Amino acid sequence: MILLAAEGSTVTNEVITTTSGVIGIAWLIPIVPLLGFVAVLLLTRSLMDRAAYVAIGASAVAFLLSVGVALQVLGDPATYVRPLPTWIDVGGFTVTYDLYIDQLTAVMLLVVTGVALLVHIYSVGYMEGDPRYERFFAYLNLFLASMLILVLGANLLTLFLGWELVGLSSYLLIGFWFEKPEFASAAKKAFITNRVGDVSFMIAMFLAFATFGTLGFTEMFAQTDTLATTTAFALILLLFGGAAAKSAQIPLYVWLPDAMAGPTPVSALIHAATMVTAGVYLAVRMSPVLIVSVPGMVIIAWIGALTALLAALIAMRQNDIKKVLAYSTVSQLGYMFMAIGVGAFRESIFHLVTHAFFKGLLFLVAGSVIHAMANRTDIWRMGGLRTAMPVTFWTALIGWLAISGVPPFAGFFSKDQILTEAYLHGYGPIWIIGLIVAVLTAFYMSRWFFLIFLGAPRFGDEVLPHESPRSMTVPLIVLAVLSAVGGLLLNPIHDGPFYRTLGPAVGDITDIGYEPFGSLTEPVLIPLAILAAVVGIGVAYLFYVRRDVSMGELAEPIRGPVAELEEHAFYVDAAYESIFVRFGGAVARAFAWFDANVVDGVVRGAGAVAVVIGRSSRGIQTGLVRSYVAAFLAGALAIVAVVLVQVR
Amino acid sequence: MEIGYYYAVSALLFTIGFVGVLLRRNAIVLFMCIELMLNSVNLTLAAAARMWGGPDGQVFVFFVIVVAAAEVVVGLALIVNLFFRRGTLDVDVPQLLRY
Amino acid sequence: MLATFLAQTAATTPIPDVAWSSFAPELPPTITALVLLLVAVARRRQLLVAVPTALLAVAAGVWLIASGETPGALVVPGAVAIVLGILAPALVVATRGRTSLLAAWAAAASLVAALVLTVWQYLTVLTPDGPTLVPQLAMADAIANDGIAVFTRLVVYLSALLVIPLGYGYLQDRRINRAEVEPLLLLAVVGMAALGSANDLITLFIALELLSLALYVLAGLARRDRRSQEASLKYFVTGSVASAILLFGMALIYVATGTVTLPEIGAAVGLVTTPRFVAAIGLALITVGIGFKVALAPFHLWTPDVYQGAPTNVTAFMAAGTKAAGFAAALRLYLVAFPDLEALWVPVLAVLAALTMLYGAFLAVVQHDVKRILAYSAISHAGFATIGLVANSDAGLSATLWYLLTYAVSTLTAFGCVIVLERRRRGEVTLADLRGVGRSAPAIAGILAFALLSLAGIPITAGYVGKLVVFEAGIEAGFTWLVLVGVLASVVAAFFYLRIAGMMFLEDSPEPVEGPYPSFGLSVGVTVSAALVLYLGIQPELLLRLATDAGVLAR
Repeated sequence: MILLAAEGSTVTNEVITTTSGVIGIAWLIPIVPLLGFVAVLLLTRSLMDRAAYVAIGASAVAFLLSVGVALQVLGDPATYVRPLPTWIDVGGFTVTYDLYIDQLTAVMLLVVTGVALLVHIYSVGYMEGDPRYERFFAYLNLFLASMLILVLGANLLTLFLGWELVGLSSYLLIGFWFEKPEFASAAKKAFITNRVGDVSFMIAMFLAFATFGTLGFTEMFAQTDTLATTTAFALILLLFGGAAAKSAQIPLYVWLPDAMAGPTPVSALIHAATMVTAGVYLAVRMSPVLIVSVPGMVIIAWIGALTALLAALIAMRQNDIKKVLAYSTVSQLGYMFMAIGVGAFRESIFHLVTHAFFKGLLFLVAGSVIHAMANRTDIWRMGGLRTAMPVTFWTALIGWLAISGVPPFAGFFSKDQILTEAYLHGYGPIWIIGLIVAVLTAFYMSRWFFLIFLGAPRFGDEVLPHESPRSMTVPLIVLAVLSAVGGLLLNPIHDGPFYRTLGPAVGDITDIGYEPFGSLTEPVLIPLAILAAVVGIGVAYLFYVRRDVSMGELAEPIRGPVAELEEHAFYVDAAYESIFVRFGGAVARAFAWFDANVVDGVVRGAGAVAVVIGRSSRGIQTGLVRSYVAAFLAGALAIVAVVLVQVR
Repeated sequence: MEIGYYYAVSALLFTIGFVGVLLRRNAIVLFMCIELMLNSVNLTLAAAARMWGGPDGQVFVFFVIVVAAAEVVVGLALIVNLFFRRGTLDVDVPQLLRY
Repeated sequence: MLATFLAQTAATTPIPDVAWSSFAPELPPTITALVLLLVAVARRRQLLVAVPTALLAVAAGVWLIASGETPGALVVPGAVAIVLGILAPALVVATRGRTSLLAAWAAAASLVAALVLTVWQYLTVLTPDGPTLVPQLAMADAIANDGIAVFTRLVVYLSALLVIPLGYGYLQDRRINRAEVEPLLLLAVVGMAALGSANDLITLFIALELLSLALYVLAGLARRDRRSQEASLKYFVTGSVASAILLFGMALIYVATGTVTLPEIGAAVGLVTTPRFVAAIGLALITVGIGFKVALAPFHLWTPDVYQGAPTNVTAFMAAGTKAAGFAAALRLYLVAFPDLEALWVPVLAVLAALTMLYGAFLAVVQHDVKRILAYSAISHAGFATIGLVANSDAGLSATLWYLLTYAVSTLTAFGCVIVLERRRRGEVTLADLRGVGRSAPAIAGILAFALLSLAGIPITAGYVGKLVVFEAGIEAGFTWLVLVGVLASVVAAFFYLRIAGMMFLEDSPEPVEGPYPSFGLSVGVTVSAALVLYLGIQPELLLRLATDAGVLAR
């Protein structure tokens, strides 16, 4: 059972206002990429191809500064506030550009700038020959700057500033190849869903200001002791509304798969490692508020779990190399929110980090494959790329094992620790969903991997796969190494170095008084998680390696005749097929239908409603001047009537 | 005489002017109706100035007269130009700007 | 010689009891407008007008400096007059033969002078000791010099100053760069400034008519263009009717209270002896008139037609300046004259604001002409600005003033870009015409997109800070529902702003397009106003402080 309220201030960090050390110049971290953006944009003509190096240089500087900041924070753990000029000051409403730097910020800085740097380098090869090559790098730098503003802001409004800028630059990047027809609807969908989230976020800010009288993190967290649970509950849901849009949670996840229309490095940077994790960052940053209302957290946990399950089911039936990864990202983000909901904030961030490694890697792998396959994206038209692209294959192998949760790769530790926490905090059903999702994840990622790299080639002779240039393989290798050993090094056991470092910066849930769901202990829970991965991979192996998949999509077992299945006499296979793939496939189809018809319909409908209202009322605007005067009369009579009724 | 009568007359004049604007299509007549509305206000102001015994209302009247004269200048110029362009004084002729 | 003579004369002549300083900023534009008309009449003998005027101005400047009560008190206005006096013949010589260029430069110079004097006014007259604004009444209480007045002057003079370079090349293109353009523009801006400081009903009415009459003519500037004619006529008819209604409302207030001065009305309205019935009807009718000027639903119907038909530079000026002046007058009227009737007007205006925001946002979605879209956006923005008025507090007052400034710079930038595009199209700009502009003219498309972001209220722009401050004031005053409506409207509005940006960047033109032809003036105007949008978005400190200080009324 769980208690319904918690007490006690939770961020144990000491708050230090400082201008010394690297933190003193930490404001350069977003400024340098911003300057890079301006420089590349203005000097496009004179820089030519060297634009890429300016952009890479800017992100490298940002990375080095981030390392410096991280070293300073980790050397002397505390929450540092770097005072900067005021942004807005009206009456009692003061907002500054101050920077807020603690262990969480340091982690985010390293992830964001690190992955961004790798993606910049990767793009040199990937975008080669594009007519707007320089502009792409300019946009990447703008995005990086925005994301860093988001991470560094010391109050909700500055965070929101970064939040909006991130959205803006991501449109520029998603829409980079605007010649593609599917982009228009993708941009619209992304824009609308994110606006819904923004509204929620804005209302949350108003509520926060009304409640705390400030939007500054330190000031807000100092008052959580006196925060009413009902207010906290509303605040949590509103904030989560914003986070759900940015981080693609039910029901606002629909934009992310469509956003795959953009260049693949963008997907790696924005839709795997950084922007979509902004919601997770926001939730963890606000964890001291979150823990005031446990019911609010329970809702987050359930939405996260359901998102994870739904997206995993859909991912099982996707045939586009990037769409699988997109739904997988939605699913993994659901995992992170699930972790937040059950009170496992540190685990959530840990999963965010490992996910940035392996999902960034997998997207870059996908980019490398698309590059090699002359822009084909259907995984049924691939296969056997193992020999043609050795580096891509081996790095993909690591990424696949990592996301599937096979020890000792990074994903195993973070995923297992989330599941364990869910169990130990008493969320039995969520723990079970988490296990199911783990099985599904292993299954669809194995399917993805097997269909692309193993078996016989299923593409025609016109495609000659080749290994990508070094600027692309080097980032792959770096991320592969991180995916392989990142988990082991950072946090191999519960309460490892990563958690001990992060602990003082995030809400502490010990006060809540969680009780375990059952009597199982970690020695039992960990093998269960491993078993989930093994089962998923095993089933996929039976379906997509042992079977003849040369017929292409027709060979998909679920569509094959049952007789054929019995002929093969894979009893285990058959059992799994009926309870797991067939059922799962049906659910996936149902949700795919739901997505394509209902959710899309709602998104289109929102626009259509506005158009209908507009159309129906434009008749008022007759163009006849006397009817305008008549409106005066009507309005005047109405106002006089209202006023007179009140005077009486 | 009771001051209320002045107010009643001026309200009546104002209403006549307003209704005229609503009903007539000829630009000149429409314009005259607007002038009628302004002058009905003048009547109110003059009567009220008498009632309160101060100069404010009468000063106001003079300014309104001046403004009305200026409005005539501008308005007639517009109407004349309109007539040259469209060949009609009907303000309801097919409109280019609407919806 | 002359100086000493004048100084002696000044010392011996009794200074008339006219508080020059209270309307000093209005003097340069007014005089320039009159002189420009004279110059236009004088045609090729412009020096005949310029030289005497210059001598007069220099003399007036010397006299002003010499006549200050304390030494140096009037140095700034005096210096401004002298500088203008020296500039007058210099301009005539420099722009010999080209009347319209002369007029543009002269008008710009006078507006710069007006801005300098406004700042001087802020620094000296209003803040003699410390940062608090001491309201000053002048001219038999007809003029109030307070925060609202100074801030309004700032906004309208700035708008007019930006409109002049934006419009110069455009008017020449359309061959409507007539001699009356600049004088009318200057007279309109003086009317706007006066509206911001009008402290009695008479001044308020005259100021309103001054700006309206000038704008009627300006809207119909393109005499050969039927759209322009239609816009002008519609504006004139609706505007005159609205003025008449407003005037009737004022008369009723006078009937009820026996005074025309706003603070006295404020005092009288609260008395038991005052017939609340009459005052209430007067208030309602005044609300109609003001609602027309600032385009509140349902008194806004003229706005799209007029904005679309009028020459674009005039539209920009109307959107930026009239709105600011109208709201300044509304703020003073409601907060000074009718505080005791707040139970009557606050709910009415709240409903109007909600209607306006939604109406503007929804109707803009289905439009195709860019100017018309911006017109509907202007309607919607009037609703947002009204939130601050409805809040009925000092914070709300500051918020509305600040919002008007942010809206003015954003909308000027947007219309400036439209002018650039119009020059290219040689005609009106529809959404379809915008296809491929992002490719053929990235700079102008980028600036337009930036201005639209500001109008939509996205961070790092002025518009965002504007909306934030207004919403904050609304929430504080307990109008949460109204703010929620505002948030909803801004979401809908984001649609059509995005649509414009999407057309420019995401669609390709069917036929190859020529690049736009921004003139020097256009480039300067658009760049400066876009820079202001960015500046007010990132560092609003200084002007936001000014707006906050402006929350002092001459009650």
